[in-house]
Order: sequence, then C-alpha cells, then structure tokens
Amino acid sequence: MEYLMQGFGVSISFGGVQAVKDVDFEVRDGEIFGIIGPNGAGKTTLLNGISGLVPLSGGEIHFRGKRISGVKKPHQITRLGIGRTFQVTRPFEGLTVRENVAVGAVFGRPRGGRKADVHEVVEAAMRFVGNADKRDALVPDLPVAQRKRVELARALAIEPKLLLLDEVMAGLNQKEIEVVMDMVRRIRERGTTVILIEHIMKVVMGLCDRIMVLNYGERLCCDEPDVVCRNDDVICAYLGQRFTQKRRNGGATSGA
Amino acid sequence: MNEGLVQALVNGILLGGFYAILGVGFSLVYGVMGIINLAHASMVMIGSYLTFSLFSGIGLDPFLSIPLVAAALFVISWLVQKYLLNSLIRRGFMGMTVVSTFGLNLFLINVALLIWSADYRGVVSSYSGVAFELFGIRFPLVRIIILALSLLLTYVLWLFLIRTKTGKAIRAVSLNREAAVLMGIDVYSIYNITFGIGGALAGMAGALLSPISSITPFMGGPLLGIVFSVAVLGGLGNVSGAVIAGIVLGVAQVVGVHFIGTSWQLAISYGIFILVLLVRPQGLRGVKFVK
Amino acid sequence: MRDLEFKQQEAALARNRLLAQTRNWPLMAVLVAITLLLVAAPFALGGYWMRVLTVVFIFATMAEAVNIIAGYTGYPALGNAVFFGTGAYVAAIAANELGVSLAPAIVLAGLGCVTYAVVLGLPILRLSGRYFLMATLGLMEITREVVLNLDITGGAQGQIFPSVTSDPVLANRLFYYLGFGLLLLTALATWWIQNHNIGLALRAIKFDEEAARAMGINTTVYKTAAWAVSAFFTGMGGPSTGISWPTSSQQRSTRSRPRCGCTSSTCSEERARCSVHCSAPASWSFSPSSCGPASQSSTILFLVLSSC
Repeated sequence: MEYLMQGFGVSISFGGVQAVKDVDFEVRDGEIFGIIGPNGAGKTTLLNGISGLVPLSGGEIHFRGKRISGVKKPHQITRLGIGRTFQVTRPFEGLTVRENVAVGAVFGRPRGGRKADVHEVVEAAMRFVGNADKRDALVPDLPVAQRKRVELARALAIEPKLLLLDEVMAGLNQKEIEVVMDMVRRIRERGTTVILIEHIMKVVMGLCDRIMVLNYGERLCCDEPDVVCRNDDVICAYLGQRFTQKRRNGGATSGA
Repeated sequence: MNEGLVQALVNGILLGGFYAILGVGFSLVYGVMGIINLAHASMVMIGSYLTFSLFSGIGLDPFLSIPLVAAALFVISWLVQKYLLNSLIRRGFMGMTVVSTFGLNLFLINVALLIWSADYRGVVSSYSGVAFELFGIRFPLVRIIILALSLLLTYVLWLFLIRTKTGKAIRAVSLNREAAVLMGIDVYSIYNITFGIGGALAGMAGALLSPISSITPFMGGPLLGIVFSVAVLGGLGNVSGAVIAGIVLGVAQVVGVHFIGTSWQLAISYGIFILVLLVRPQGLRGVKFVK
Repeated sequence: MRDLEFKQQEAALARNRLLAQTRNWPLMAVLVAITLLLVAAPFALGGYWMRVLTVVFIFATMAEAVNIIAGYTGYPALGNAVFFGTGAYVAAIAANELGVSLAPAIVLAGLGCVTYAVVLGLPILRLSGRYFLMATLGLMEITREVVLNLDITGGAQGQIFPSVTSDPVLANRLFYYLGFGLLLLTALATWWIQNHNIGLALRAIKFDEEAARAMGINTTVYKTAAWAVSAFFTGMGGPSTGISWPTSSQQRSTRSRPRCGCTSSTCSEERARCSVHCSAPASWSFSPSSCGPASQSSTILFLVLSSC
C-alpha cells in the first residue's frame, strides 16, 4: 500500500533537549491520523518538522514517496499540498477574514492554478467553515472559535492533500466541538488526508482511523483507537505507573 | 609579537573598560523596557559638554564632575521617560518609542549646537600628558583613571541591582513585567528610574570621555556604533557581559586599526556589531542582566 | 455554466470596486486639482520656492519608499537614507567616470541601489525587527566610512555632478519635474503594490512571518523585493534633487541645511551659510555626511504618513 507520508527515524532537538526522538510513522492516503500524548511529548514539534518550520536533527520525512525534509523550504512544502493550522491561533491580525483566507489561496496552492479562481476558492473555503458573513471583519475583533475557523479556512484555501490540525478544538465548547468534528469528517470525505493533534479523547476516539502516541518525544505505539486505549504503555504514560499496576492486579475495571 | 602590537593591545584594554560603561546604560534600558535608545550616544555627548562647561567655567576637574553630570543626566532622562516614553508605552505604541528616541537624538544635537556651537571643544587638565612607561609600553595616566573609574562605576551599578530594593525591583520588571505588577511594583516608576540610570550612565561615560576626545555635537554618531556593538556582543541587558564585550571590542578595534588604518575605526566597530548579529541571529534575546 | 456564474461574480466585484472609488470622488478631485496645480506651479513660482518644493518631493518620495519596507512589510529600516547617498554617488561617478548623462545616471542610481539592497538584504533581513533596525543604522554608518575612505568617491570632498544646463531657470524646472515625477511614480508603485498580491504577501509577513511561510509565501523573496523597491526609489531620489548637500565640514555650521551653488568643501563659512536662495542647481555636489539630513527628514515624513 502506498503511504501519503512517511517518517523515518525523525529526530528534532533544540540545543540539548531532544523534543522528538527517532520516531517512525506512516500516514495512509485518505485517513484521519491522530497524534496524542501528554504535554511536552513533542506533538507540535513533530508537526513543525513536517511543515519545515523546524529543521530535523535526524531522519527523513517523505511525502508521496519523495523526500521533503531538508530539501524543501516551508513555503515549498505548503505548495506541495500540505496545509496546517497553529495550536495558538496565528491569523494575520491586521488583515480581514477574507484577506487572511486569500493569502492561502494566492500563495499556498500548487503552481499552475488559475489566478482568476482565487475569488472562488476563498469564498468556498469561507463557506465551508461558515464564516463567510464575517469576511470583512478584522481578526482581533473575533472570538476564539471564529479565529480558529479563520485558520482552518486559510489552510483549506491552499487546497491541501494533507492537512495538519494542531488542537483546533482546544478552547471550544461542546457544541462548537461537534461542529468542527463534522467539518473534519467532511474534509476527509473531500479526499484530504488529515493529521490531527488533540487532547480531547472523545474527539480523537471518534474521528481518527489510527492513532500514534508520543511520550517524551518517543513513539509509544501506533494503531487503531480501541487498540491504543488498551495499551499498557499508553495508560502508564497518561495515568502513571501506579495506576497501571493497580489495573493489572485488580483487572481492567476502568478504561482510559 | 612586536612592541607596536603589544601597545595596541594595552590601548585596547584601556579603551575597552570605558566601552563597558558606554554600552551598559543602553543595555540596561533595553533589557528592562525593550526600548532602543538611539539618543544614548547623544546623552554621552551632553555629558561631555556639561563636563567641559564645568571645567572651563569653574575649573572643576573632569573626574570630579562625574556626580554632578550624572545627576543632571539622570533628571533629564527621568523626565523624558515620565512625560514622553511612558505615555507611548501606556497607549501601546511600543514601536514608536524608538522613533521618539530618534527624535530626541536630533533634539539633543541641535540643543548642543545652540548652546555650545559647532566648534571642537576639549578638556585639557594639568595631568593630561602624564604617562607611565613599563617594559617600553606607555600607560597614559588619564586612560588608566578612566579604566579604573569605568570598572568601578559598572561594579557599583551591579551592586545596586543586586543589593538594593529598587535594584531588585528593576530586575523583577525586566524578568516579567506582569508578575512584577502582581507583586505590587509600580512598573512605570521603575521605568522612570531605569531610564534615569541609563541617562546617568551615559553622562558618566561622557564625563570620562571628555579628557581624551574632542567634543562636538556630532560625536554621538560614531559612539552609537560602539554602544550597539557592546550591547549586542554582551547580550542585550547583561551588565557583566557588557564589561567583557567592551574589552573584546576595544581590543578588536585597536588591533584592527593597527593593521588596517585609523580611518576605518568606525567601520570596524559597526562591522563587528553586524557580524555578531548575523552569526547569532536568533540567539541574541539577551541573557537577563545579572544572573 | 459554472464559468458563467463566476464571470458574473467577477463583474459584480469590479462594479463594486468602481463604486467604492467613485464614492471617494471629492478626495479624487482634490488630488487631481493638487496635481494639476503642482504641474503648473513652476510657471508661477520663483526659483527659491521651486527648490524648496523639489526637496519636499524628494523627501516625500523617500518617505513613501521607507513605507514600503517599514510600513507594509514591518521591517523598520531607519537607515534607509543609505540608498539616498549611494544613489547620488552612483549617478555622480557614472557621470564623471563614464560620461553618462543625467537621465540614465538616475536610472543607474536606482539599479545600483537595488543591487546593494539585495546584497545587504539577504543577510540583514533575517534579523527580526529591532535588530534589523539597528543593523540598518549600522550599515548607513559603515557605508559612510567606506565612502570616506575610497578614492573613487572622492573621500570627504564628495562628488560634483557635471553641469546639466547653464540656464538656471531651465535647471530649476528640470529638477522640479524630476522630483515631482519621481514622487508620482513612487506613489503609483505603492498604490499598485497595495492593490496587488504582493501587498497581501508583505502585510502577511508583517503580522506573522512564520505563519506567512506556512501559507506558502516565499518570505525571503518578498521582503528582499520590498527592500529593493524601497531602495530603487530612494536611490533615484539622491541624484534627482539637483541641490548640493553640505559636506562634513560645512554641516557643522549650516546645521544640515540643503544648499546649492557651493560645490566643494573649500566653501568659506559665509558661503556655506547661503540657503537654497543662492545660484541655480545646474550642477550638484554630494558628500558622505549628506545622508544625515536626508534620513532625518524622510523618517519624520514617514512618521507623518504612518500616523495618518
């Protein structure tokens, strides 16, 4: 089977700290791939490595069978069709919603796209996330949920093959989470593969086809959701050694 | 090693100690408030002129005038911070502070032109020609005094920041402004004092510089390059770093001049500055002053 | 079918744009009136006021140019006057050494500054805001030092541009229209950048450079281009003033007032005090210290612009 993206022994370090250690991963075409792990596990760093914003200190990342890490600059990686959002939203503050999305549509799409259809792409992206009515609002005037939508629309406007979502649902209320979850499903239905970082278990379990668990920068396991949440290492990383011991001794009465 | 080079090294060290006090005020202001004070070198110039006026007016020795000059510059800087820069910071125009100091720089230059005119001035005291000789190397007395006083005053600043309550408050503000507010520190009055100290240090540097340099309203331009270099080389906001950086820069400059020629002196100091910026483009956040 | 719908949308959009502009017609009318007045002004004004206006045009040009890099792109290039000086020197040296005439010399000045900006920009534009600011000031000083020490630039003496015409009235008009044309050109270029994808990229870089990169913008190319465009217009401003700028020794006594007529540093104090009143700028001179006043004025103008 052909993988859309593969990582071979990916390592990323800052000074003396190794944030990601020798991680292998493979993302299949058309799936929703979850990355979970405790705080500081290196999830966002790995995403930054994929989008080229941080250089790898070891290993390689391949996209559609071609190496991208170390050979492509961040903007080139984007133009290959890898879009992303940021954990802490980073829309362009002084630009309107429409202009924000236009930045993605104008510069992020692969070369050769018709210049004239920018307008169409922007409108479609704004309609998809449901903020077309806010098109002329400036970003600082928007609440968090709307800012997240601007980021999502901006990433969609580059017409990505692979979309990296970094905690798009953090800070949203129950209803908003449902809406965004539905959006992610629809994005996948359009044929876009999604890599998703999320803390909310309900979201991860409900959305992802496969999940990779990171802990202290190392890959603990990578499998389907229900297999992952029964994995002892994972429970250990999340809930601590003692809990795992108790669970082993007293039988599995409580799931993660 | 030939004698000329050794002499150059000695000169460089003697000069470098002075560079430390030249850069440290700028560095302090940047470290605490994030303000690039483009008028710092012009404040040095004003300090030199005040020393000159005290010397030619009442015959006060340039080194004895240091407290007076420092006090005058403290007051001026304090007022500038209180009535100009703070009002900008309060309203969130942080970027405009650098432009204000750019304007302040022009203002001070033109004030100096009005008061002291464009003529070259100098402070020549009775002992200005005295020099010791050791192993064939000249040690001019004035420069030794300047070095000693520079290091002493920088040390006093360090003690002030470490020991006194105000000094601790300044450090707290530089580390985390919000947390300092929560601890009950009046950030804006700390800003006033910090900029005042920055100005006082510029004034001291000006007084120290007056016996060895000709004084003109435009002397700030070349000095600003040294100020930048020392501040960046030592880490913006780092007092002990500034001393080391000052000496490194002094030696580099004098040795550079020894090999290339006097007319390139300014280019060398600015060149070192830009080189440091380029070699460590991200790593220059500045270690917080005093560990 | 979809294409048709799209075309209709586009047309509606264009209509809206036109409407938005016509709604602003009083402003447009005032602008056109001022432009026409300025075009006609040389036939009504004396030499003094024409030279004052010429300087105003050049400084406004420089302010517009700084705006491209500092305003749109968010890189505070306070030392941008380095291109003013570089441009003047490139033009003067081209004229004196290669015998180039005024118009191509001005274009050469612009292109020379573009080269300089690209060479400097590739390393310097990697620095973030405040460090970039200090670095540009440093570059201005270094350039001044280098110019002072080179033979080809004439050292502290500066350069004297060969006389363009012996008729003072004609010379005044020539430089007036040169300055005015340059200002219009710069304003037009700025307007084009603003309404174009380039402007979008520059503004995106200003607000979040890393996010801009992640959106597919080649930030290195765009910001270097922005600085190069800025340098181009500033550089053409240098030789277009047609006015002698004080040399280092005179600057102290004249307080950086632009002068004309006195063409070398041998000027006596008395002659140095002459303001823009004196003889026509048929030829001009330029020295290393001239960047100072130019930088100050253009920066102040930029501030006026940016506060609007």
